[in-house]
This record gives sequence, structure tokens and C-alpha cells, in this order.
Amino acid sequence: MDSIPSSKLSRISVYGASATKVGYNIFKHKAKKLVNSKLQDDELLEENSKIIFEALTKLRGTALKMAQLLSLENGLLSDKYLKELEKSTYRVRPLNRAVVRKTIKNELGDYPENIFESFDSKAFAAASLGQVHKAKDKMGNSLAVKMQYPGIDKTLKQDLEMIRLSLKVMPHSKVVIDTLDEVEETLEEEVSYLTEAKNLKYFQEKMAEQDVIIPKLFPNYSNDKILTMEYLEGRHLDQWLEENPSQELKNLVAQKIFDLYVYSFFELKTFQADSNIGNYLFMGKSDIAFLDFGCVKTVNKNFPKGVVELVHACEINNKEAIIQAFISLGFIKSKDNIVVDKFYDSVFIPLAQWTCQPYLKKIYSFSKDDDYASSAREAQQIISREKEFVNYNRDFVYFHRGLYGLYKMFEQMEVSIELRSRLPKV
Amino acid sequence: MKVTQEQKKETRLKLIVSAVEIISQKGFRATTMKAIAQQAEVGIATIYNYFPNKEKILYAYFEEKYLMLSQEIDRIEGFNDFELNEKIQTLIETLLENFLEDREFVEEAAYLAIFSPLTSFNDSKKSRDIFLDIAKKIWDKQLEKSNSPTPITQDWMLLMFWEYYLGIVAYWLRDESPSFNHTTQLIDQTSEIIKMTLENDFMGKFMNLGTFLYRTHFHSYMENFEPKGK
Repeated sequence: MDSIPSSKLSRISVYGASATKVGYNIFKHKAKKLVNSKLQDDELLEENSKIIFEALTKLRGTALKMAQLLSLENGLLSDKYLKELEKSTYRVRPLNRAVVRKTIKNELGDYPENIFESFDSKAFAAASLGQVHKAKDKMGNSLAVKMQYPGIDKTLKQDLEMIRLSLKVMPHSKVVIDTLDEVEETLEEEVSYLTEAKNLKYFQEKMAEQDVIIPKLFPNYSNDKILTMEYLEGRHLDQWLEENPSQELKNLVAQKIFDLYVYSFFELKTFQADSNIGNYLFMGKSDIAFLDFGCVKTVNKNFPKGVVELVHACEINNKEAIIQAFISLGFIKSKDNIVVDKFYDSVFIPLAQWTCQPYLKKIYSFSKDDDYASSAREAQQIISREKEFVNYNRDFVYFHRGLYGLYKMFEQMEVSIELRSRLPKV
Repeated sequence: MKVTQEQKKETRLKLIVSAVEIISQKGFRATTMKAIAQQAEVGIATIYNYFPNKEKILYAYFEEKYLMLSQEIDRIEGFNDFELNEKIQTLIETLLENFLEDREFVEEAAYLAIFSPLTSFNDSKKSRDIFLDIAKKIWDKQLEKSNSPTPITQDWMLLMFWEYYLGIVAYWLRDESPSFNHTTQLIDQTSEIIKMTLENDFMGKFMNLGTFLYRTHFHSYMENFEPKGK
């Protein structure tokens, strides 16, 4: 079917079915465990991943987005399915052309043929909560018209409710359910394209001096459900890599992407927290463009300083300094010795290691094999597990998520770039 | 003074528009032919030259809308490349969009002129035929595209499609979701089933199965049937 099943009933049935299946798997797992006590939790994770994945991709839209966020933060899905999900934003079945027509008419007041010089009713790209169409306005400008799946805003809350219900049978479900509030907030922001339009303008202004292309907004064809931007001719990472760019060029481009991240994180303190591969466009030579501003976060103004402190503390390998950095980062309210002693080895050290590892060398080489980025999920799991005791700092989550996306991309590009020297001084 | 064909058309349209307006406000029963004539600024005798009664105006409204629809469809960019389900959905959505400004009237009219069991077959036939003609053209093009023969069930299937369309209109009239999203989803899902049914000639296959069962089993059973107790 082409549109999202939005009646609560049909959604319940999809979730319900998967919840039952997950429940059954846990039961099966427990039964097996009685026989073979060595059976690893991995197997359960794998089976549950499959079920969750199937259920979520059926619902697309919110659920798909949710799956991405959840998996990123809690390691809820195994690597295999996480990889599937990362691809899935490109693969979701598009809305049919009749629905596209109707949506344009509803949102922009007239049919596409009356508004645009030309409008391609087949989408050329999928966005997390919608899809993107190519068009030309009467002045001859090439446009990318991003359209939200109709009704998605309404189904958002239902989705979250349903997923809360069905996840109750999952192992460690409390962790997941707790994260849902944050997911909900993120999604609610993303569901209004006005927020994204605002972010787009913000970055255009603030990054005007930087070496990056940010598409122009066309406010006449934009509202909360439709976002029209300048259409940029470029390639996504996979396509770009297929052309076998030289190692120098790859390093140069990756360095540029990292520098831009540093600039927006440390200077603007506002950054793209959902830096997945699809958000970058390779424009030829070393030019790059940013496409998606749906998930932009602003961190506490002291937070970036804490990150630099932490890296420095790791460099000198000083316990006091590491603890002090976690205080700056907001993980520990004040110097609470009980918390520090209890969690120093189990939480703070692994987190510090993950965060600092790439910064301890002058040049860090990313490679497809070492899969450093994925270990971010382990770090996330550590925080989630000890959430009751350790202050779960959201800024850190966003920072993490942003870096995770970048590192993933760098691993795929197999680049060697300077990271440490780009951070501001303490 | 000789009334030209153009003027006649114009007056007819004016009468329809006036009827829509008054019926939307007062309801069908409370609306008189006289009131419609006054609203259209024509003499009471003139209105009867065009329409012998109020019901006929209702049907005329739908005829007009279907004729308009046919022209609108032709103007849609890339319509011919649409999949069958997309064509069906565009057809119905465009029509609903055109009904929108007269929604109260359509509601009133639909129950009297279309859904009512008392609907005279001949009265509704003309507007229905215009609508089904558009549907048939779309279907024939699709058959041509796939090089398929016209199924023997076509006429019957078209009548089914008419019933389907009426069902959608009834649903739409009760739809309270924003932008009638539920109707859109209903059409989306059902039109895909229609597409599958038509493309695979399900009906033809069912008929073949029925014929087979009848010939080989039911028929021979009846031949050998002997009443009990004999």
C-alpha cells in the first residue's frame, strides 16, 4: 500500500504482531537457556532486531525515524539491521502520484501544473518523514520540493504510544521507553518543516564565510508540510566513491567536513545532530553541500569546552582532570565521591576512551575494518544502563550522534585526517 | 429574439449554480423551482424549458462535473504514464476536489439522487454513463498498453466501479480527518486492489472456475440427483 497505515487499528496490528513475536522469542530464549546456559544474548538481540526491523519498516515515516534514533542510542538493534536501516531511508516506497498531487494542492493551494513550470511527480529522494521531488519554477530555477507524508503529524503520537506498549515486553525495555521522550521531542521538531526552514536560514547566514554550499530556501513554496529548496546537482557518498576519487581528495573533503562540524559545534554551538551520510552532497572537486537541517541542536554554551577538557585530560591521563571534565560536561552535578568511585571505571573511563581515542594521535586514520564508529553504541549503552546514577546529559547524546554519523562516513571513505589540531584550545 | 446555443448553455449552467446555492442553504425539500428561477434571474416559465423538475437539476449538476473532470484529466502532466491505481485515485480525488465547494449540496443531492433506492434508473443513467465513459477510456488505454484483450466482464466491472465510486463519495461525506486524509488513504489502498484485480483479470478467472465447477460437478450432480425415498 502506498500511504502510511494511519488508522490506529492497523498500526496496532503491526506493532501488536511484532510485540507478540518478540515476547515469544524471549520465551523461546529462556526455554533454550534452561537447556544451554551458555547461549548468548546476541542471539536474542539478533532475533529481536529482525522483528523490530520488519515492523518498523512497514510503518515508515515516524517509526522508521524512531528506529534510527533508538538504535543509535541504545544498541537496540544489532549491527546488521542498523546497516539495513541506514540504507532504508533511500528505499522506502514512495507515495503514489495521485497523493502527491493532492498534497501539493492542499498545501500550496493549487495543482503542481499550475504552480510550477514543471513538476516531477515521481520522487527522486526519500526524506525521513517524507520525500523529495524535482521541479522548476516559472523563473527557471531548479527546485527540490520536500513533501511530508500526509497525516504523519497525527500518527506521530499514536506511534509513540504503540511503540511504548509493544516494547514493554523487550529486555531492558525501561531504557528504551525512557529514551522515547527525547525521541518524541526530536520528532516533533522534525515534523514541522518551518523549524527546518529556520535552521536552513540560520546556517546560510552563519556559514556564509565557510567553504560549504547550503541550498537556498524558496519561502513562497514552503510551509510546515512542504519545504522547497534550490535543487543541487551533486552525488551522494556512494556515487562519489564509485568514481574513485584520489586519497588526497578524499582526505581533503573529509577534513573539510570535520572542520565544518568543529566550527558549528564549538563556534556556533548549534549543529546538525543527525549527520547521516544522506545529508551531504559531493559537488565535484572538493566542494560539498549540506542538505538536511531537520535535526539541529544547540548545546549548553559550556559543553564544547568540556569536550576539549576531556580530550586534554585523556592526553595527560589524569584522573582528577577526567573527573573535572565530566563535571563540566554535566555528567556529575558536583564532586560526588560516591558516584565517582562507583562509576569511574565502569562508565567514565569507557566514555572518555571512546570520545578521546581519535584525538590522541596527530592524524587519525579511519578504516572500514576497525569499525570505531560502531563502538559509539557501546558507549551509549553504558550511559543508558547507569542512567539512574549518572546524569544523562542530552548534549552529550547529540554530540555523540553527530560524531557517530561523521565517523561512519569517514570509515567508509577510509580517510586520514587531522582531528586533534582542529579542536579549540582549553 | 432568437436564443443561441451558447446562451442556452449559459442559462442552463446559471440555473444549476443557483440551485446549488439555494439547496445548500435551505435543503432540497424547502427549495422551490420558483426560488431557483429567481436566483438565476430567469422567468418561471423559462426554468421549465430546461428542467421539468428539481431532481433533473441534481443530475445535471453531476453531468457537468463529470464533463469537467474529463477535460481536467487531459490537462494533467504525465497522466498517461501513471499506473492504473494512480489514475483511478487522480480521477476520484480531482472529482472530490471539485465537489468540495458544493459539499453540502453534494451531500443533499447524493442521498436523494444517487444512494436512494427510489432513484430512477433512467435519470441517473446519463450522468453515470459520462463518468463510466471516462473510466472505460482509462481502462482501455491500460489494456492497449499491456496488449491485453478486453475482458468479457468489462461492462459488469465498470458497473462495479460505479458502485465503488459511490461508496467513496459516501465515505468522503462522512470523513472528518484534516484534508480528508482518510479518504485519500482509503482510495490509495482500494485502488491498488482494483489495479491488481484488473491487471490479472481476477474476475475472468473466477468465472472460469465457476463454469468449471458448475459443468463438472454441480451439473453432473444434478443429472444424477434422485430425490430420497424413491
